[in-house]
Amino acid sequence: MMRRESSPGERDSSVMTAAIASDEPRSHEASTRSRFKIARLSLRDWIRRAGVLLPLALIWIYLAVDVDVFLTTYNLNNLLLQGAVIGVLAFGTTFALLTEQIDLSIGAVAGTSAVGAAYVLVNYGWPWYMGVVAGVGVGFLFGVANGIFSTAFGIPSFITTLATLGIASGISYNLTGGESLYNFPEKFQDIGQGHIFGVRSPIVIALGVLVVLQFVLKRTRFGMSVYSVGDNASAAGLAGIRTMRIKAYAMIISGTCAGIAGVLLAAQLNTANPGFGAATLLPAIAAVVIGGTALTGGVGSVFGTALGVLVIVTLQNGLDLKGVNPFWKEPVIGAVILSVAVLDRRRR
Amino acid sequence: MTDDVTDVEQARNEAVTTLLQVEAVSKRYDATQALDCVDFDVRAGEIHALLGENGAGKSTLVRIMSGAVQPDEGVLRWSGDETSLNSPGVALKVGIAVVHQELALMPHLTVAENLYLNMIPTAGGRIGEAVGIVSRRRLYSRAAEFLRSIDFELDPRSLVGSLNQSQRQLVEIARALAQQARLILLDEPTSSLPPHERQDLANRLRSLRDHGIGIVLVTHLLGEAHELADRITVLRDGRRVGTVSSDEIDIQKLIELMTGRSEGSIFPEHDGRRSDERVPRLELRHLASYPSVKDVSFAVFAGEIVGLAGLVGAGRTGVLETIFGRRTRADGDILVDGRPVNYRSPLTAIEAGVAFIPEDRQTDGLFPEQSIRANVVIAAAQAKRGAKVTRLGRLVVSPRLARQVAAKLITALQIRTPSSELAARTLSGGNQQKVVLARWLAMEPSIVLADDPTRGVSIGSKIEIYQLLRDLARRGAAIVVVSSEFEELVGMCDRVIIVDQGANVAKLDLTRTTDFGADDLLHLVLSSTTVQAEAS
Repeated sequence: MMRRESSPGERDSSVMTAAIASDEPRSHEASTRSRFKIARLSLRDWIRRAGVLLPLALIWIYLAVDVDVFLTTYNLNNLLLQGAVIGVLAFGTTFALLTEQIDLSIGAVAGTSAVGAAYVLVNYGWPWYMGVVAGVGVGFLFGVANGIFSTAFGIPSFITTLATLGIASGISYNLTGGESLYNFPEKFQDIGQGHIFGVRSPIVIALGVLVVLQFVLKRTRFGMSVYSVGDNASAAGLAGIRTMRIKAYAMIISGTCAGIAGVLLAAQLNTANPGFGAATLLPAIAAVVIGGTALTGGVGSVFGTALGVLVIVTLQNGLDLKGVNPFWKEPVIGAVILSVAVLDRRRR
Repeated sequence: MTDDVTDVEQARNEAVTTLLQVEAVSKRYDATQALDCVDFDVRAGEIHALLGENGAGKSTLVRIMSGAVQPDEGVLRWSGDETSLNSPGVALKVGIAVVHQELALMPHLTVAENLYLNMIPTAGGRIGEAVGIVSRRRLYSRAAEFLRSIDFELDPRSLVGSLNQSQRQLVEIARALAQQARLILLDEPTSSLPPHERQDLANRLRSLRDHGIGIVLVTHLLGEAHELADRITVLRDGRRVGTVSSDEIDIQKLIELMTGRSEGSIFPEHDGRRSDERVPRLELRHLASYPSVKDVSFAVFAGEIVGLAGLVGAGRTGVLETIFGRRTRADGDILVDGRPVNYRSPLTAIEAGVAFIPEDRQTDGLFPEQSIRANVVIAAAQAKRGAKVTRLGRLVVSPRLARQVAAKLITALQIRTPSSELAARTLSGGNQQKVVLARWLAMEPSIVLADDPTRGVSIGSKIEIYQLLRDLARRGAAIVVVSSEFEELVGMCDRVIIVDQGANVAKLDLTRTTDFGADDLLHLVLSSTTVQAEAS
């Protein structure tokens, strides 16, 4: 990373903000409208969500008062766009945490997916949709590998995904020889830079993933099984749930979402670089934890994760707007994870 | 020996002193009045049992006496002086120690290390003390001497992890005594113990009493309380119903005090096998599975409740788990309605109409963080049979159907909760167990395997669970029950199979005999065990 001047909208060396730099001002209605209406929530969900909402509201009020440009549509659009990639990663890996697993490979897999998509587009000249298939497919396959090794072979997901993190990042460096791949078909770029219903497409795609996964979690038999396995795996087995399968599926969802995030990343930037994904692991896991998902499984929701994502990107955005040295971003997120974990422990 | 006797007598003479006196204590949690103006006292050299149903206020009272919770009103007196126990640490300094149901021991450390965890003797010399070098020699000699002084037969060098449950309990009690405790609060000390270990623990407690220690015994087992305690206090709905000397009351009276009802038997009537049944619903032929089941054969007819009696480790749970497909069958046959079956997983067993109520609801039954509704419908959602709660090829759970099914069962089983949306952990033990039962009732099972279905629940919930199982049998299910309480087996079952070392050694039909009591069954179990041990 290089030092940079940090006024809003200026080119940032970090991946996430660079994605936003070329952004145009757009409305953000879609996101605010969809925030409260997805599923029927229990009282405890409300309390849990309020736990995140309160600090989120405070940060927003502070930034709105303190920084003039914060509440501009331009900046809010930036903020949500930044949240899109982290969001898709975090939504998927919520399933891993809910089933008492963890997926450390999501960042690296997202990078490999971006490179994979770029590779077939640039080197083989495949059509844009095959780029999408390749990118998402890479994520899916890593998810399958993670699922198989951490269930059928009984290796803790922490170890499995640490290993696949290394493998994924090695593959993307080998494919590119460390160089960047760029110049994708326009249709592919539209995935990251175009608009759907007047909103930047990554935001819409991320919201789509959010809605689908929240539905899966709250309304389907699979979702019910996810909670049960994370809450009490032994009891789940005796109630007729195939616990290993559920855990494997959770890892596949996590990997596939990493694939989608990789495609979004490549399409937004019109380039793919093997070092891409590494920076997204920390904020994505942070968002899940801040969003109220218990590391011990069985408690949390994709919806909570979405609020966690908002906290993370607001912090990042606020630090940018305040002109803080970007090297402080990761330490700040780290500190937030620790404080949330401490608060969570004290509340129990 | 003579020294001991005089010691005991001395202690007895001093025993008139009241150690802890609780006066008019009240405690409120939100909407619940947990304790309402309760008096209680413990004397030195007495065992005072505290009885009551779940939610009667026993645990709140114990928490107040141990300093974990502060009363809203009322006074505590220690040896006559008013005292405030602000924390468990303060209570321990005063001389009050609690031994909880879940023990707080370090399994990888030795008995002696556990005893002196916070006061390990250091090696002599300046360096030894300054650096805190542990003197193992002193540690073990001190521990051995101490254990001898309180008549505990424990090897200070053995690892706590290698001890059985009752010995661990002794270690915890000894630790309290090593810290100069004069009053010990025991929370359900025997509920997880097999019968012979219970007896052992009971003897140790008596010996402690004779040394002048005051003991408060919180328990669900009425027989135990009656036999062991000098006085018994019964709580109901946060009020003290009475304190009686245990010589002056019988168990039937105790039940009446606890439940507030004065009906006769706590067990529903026996039915027995229907005369028209020819083929048993469930039949085992020489069933074997690793590691505990060697050779078990018996048959259960529809409408029958059959009990499996035996000591812990006899393989009773293994038999149930093998039928349910949780363990792999190594040998023998399982026949349902005369046809051999092979359930490879719990799911296939569930689909075939088998229900399994696990022994330990915390580890194998309950989903504590999930809603009561989800807890009830979870099995029904997985299987094709039973109550319908899913739509679209069973992909989607219908909230409406799930709510209906849960509501019906919550009413039928009288599960006491303000809402089915609440997390299952908010329920009391008995109600949690009823949630697990409700899950299986939703499946309309034809075979019910119940592993200690009333473990750790109050007498009121027990009566309801006995009735439920009998109702299931009357509706045509075949029921196999494992229990560690012989009274329960004799009271509830039509027939009892005695299992020892993985094989059935005796069968008895209780519908044909009257006057067969829990003691008779205990003798039978112990005698057939001996026979088996000699034979092998």
